[in-house]
Amino acid sequence: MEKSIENIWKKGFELDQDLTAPKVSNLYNNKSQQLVDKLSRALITETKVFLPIAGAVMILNPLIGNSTWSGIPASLWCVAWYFIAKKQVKKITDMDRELSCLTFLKSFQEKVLDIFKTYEKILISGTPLFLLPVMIYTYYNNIDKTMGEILGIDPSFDASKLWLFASLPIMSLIAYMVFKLSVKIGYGKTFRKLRELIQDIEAMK
Amino acid sequence: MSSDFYQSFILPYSGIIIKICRAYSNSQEDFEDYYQEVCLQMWRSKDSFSGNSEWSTWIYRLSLNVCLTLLKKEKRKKDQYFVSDALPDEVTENMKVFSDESLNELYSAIKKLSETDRAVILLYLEEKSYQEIAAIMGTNTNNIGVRIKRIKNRLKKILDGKIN
Repeated sequence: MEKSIENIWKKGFELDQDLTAPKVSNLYNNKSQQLVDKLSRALITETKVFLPIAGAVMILNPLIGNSTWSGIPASLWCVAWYFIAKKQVKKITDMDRELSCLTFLKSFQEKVLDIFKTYEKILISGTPLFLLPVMIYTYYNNIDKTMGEILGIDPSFDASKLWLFASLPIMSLIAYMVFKLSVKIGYGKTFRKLRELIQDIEAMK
Repeated sequence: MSSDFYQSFILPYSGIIIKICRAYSNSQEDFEDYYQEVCLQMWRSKDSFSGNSEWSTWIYRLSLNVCLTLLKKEKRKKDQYFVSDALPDEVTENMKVFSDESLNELYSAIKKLSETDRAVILLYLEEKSYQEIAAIMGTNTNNIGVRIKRIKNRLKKILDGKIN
């Protein structure tokens, strides 16, 4: 056989042992790190967004013709969310990164799902609490009461406006559904990748 | 990533990736890093595979891009830390990674080529058509034939020990 470079190449690679792929465990470590970092970054950024929103609500509310007072519940709600989210995100940022890749990923997945479950619970129970002052204000305002009367003490009863309070559970449900949808859109793909990555690593064991 | 993305879409082409990574890496450790980086990039970029070319062509292109990028990064690092004390080429030239001695010599010779010449000759040796080589390299088909001839001559000279 002529010793051309083509022949050297062909003959040299006849033995498959030279083309054995290196182990890819580190590949999964890298992928895991990439996913974990991406998800953590997204959660941290979302947490930080609540404070500017709270400020914006306070500033913009009078500008669109509402009273400053009516912006306070929404702003407080945002500030509360900031502290809640900050505490929740700490669960993943404080995780022990010395764990094995699979153990870490499983624990991370568990914690992230737990965070979103907590958000759901707070959203369902918190929405009426946040909306209640708004409803009370709207209710009394509609019957031309002053602030002193609102907080005071002579609440005239107007049954025809009670429907406002009936909308609280509906608002909670809407908030819950919007939350679920936004999580699905914003995190669905990353959650799926995380799930598949765990399956991959488990399959390789 | 589907549960067996690596098994189904990367492993069958690992030979191609190994051949390319071997041509650009200077040690076993480097080689493994390059291989893993190529796999990682494939996983990251798999959604950008449009299907206009064959999967294997896409793998060639991506592997070459990754290797060239890593090589550039390494050069920058060397420039920073080994200004007057660059690592000697002999260390890499004597690396015997294949069981076939002639193949080891050929690889040593290929590593003496420029980065793009290395890519062209690898694709040629993998029996890619001039059109495919041009498509992967993002160049004109007309130049490929002449370029391959020139590279082969240079390789022959290196292998004959006429030039170092």
